[in-house]
Amino acid sequence: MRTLLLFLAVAAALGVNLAVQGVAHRLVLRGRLVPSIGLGFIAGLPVLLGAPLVVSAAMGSDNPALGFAGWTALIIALMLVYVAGSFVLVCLIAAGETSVRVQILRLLLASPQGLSEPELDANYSNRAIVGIRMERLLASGSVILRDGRYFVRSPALVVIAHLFLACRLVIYGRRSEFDSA
Amino acid sequence: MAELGIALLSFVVSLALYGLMVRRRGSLRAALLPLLLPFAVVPVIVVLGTALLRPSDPIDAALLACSIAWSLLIAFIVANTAIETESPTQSLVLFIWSKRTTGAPAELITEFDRSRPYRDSRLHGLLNDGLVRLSNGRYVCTGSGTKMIAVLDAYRRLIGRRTPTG
Repeated sequence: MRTLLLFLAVAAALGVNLAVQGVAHRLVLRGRLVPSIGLGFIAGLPVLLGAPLVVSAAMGSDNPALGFAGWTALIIALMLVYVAGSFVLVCLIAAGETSVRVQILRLLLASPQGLSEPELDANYSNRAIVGIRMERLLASGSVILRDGRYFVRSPALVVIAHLFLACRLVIYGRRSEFDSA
Repeated sequence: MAELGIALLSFVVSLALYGLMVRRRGSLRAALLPLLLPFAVVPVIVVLGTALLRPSDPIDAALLACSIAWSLLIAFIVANTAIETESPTQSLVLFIWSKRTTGAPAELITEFDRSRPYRDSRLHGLLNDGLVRLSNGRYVCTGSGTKMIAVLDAYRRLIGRRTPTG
């Protein structure tokens, strides 16, 4: 019963999340990706928490009583699964946006004959990857250039980077993919 | 509430098992194969946990626990590429952050990008995963690579995103 409610509520909430992302990005926030994703996530929350109540009320007397612990567990489960689903959406959009692998695939797809290594270098070199990211960090104000030296100004980025580093250390036992190279 | 504990326990145990396998097998290529193993481990832990804790409705609790653990595992697998192979942006941020007292001069950034050939590393990964093949000295996108781009582009089109930044 609760699993069915969970799937219905999360599917509905993710649907609303996506729809609001689309409308916000196209019409309201006009190309601002991160606020659009945030707005989509928030818009899904009322649907997520309201859907089980609506379904439960519609079932009436056929609905076995869940009790306080049952409802609490369901709400926590809903939040966990919705956050996981929203995180997957963020990862998908981030991959399409900035992933090096995806960018290489796009370049190869755009060239029906494929690309040789020098041609790939000319379009997307090792050096360009760091250069593009530095430009993006400077443009967003996350990194500043002062007296010829770079400083990080975004504590959130530092926290996220440390979080992923901690996961890499715990799961893979290394700081960098180039450690084993 | 027992089902939440069982779900989180099964997620952590399956992740730990995955971590152990990856460390034993070593290479990135080998790490792709056991990626699906945690999904099979979850029901085993859930059944054991349910039998041990005896919630009032064991089937409902077990299904809920499996749903939570599998959802968390899907999120992990999607994030796994960013964990396993570092994000250039995050590494750059950590590198500059490590020089926060004096700041990172431009020469050190050049040294940073020389020591991290991200393009070569990702191209190698694409070849290993069968998304790109080498044909007569030229790299060509395979059918799987084309499908992957189609999925990502469908989402981008849905929200009206036009130009990728790379």
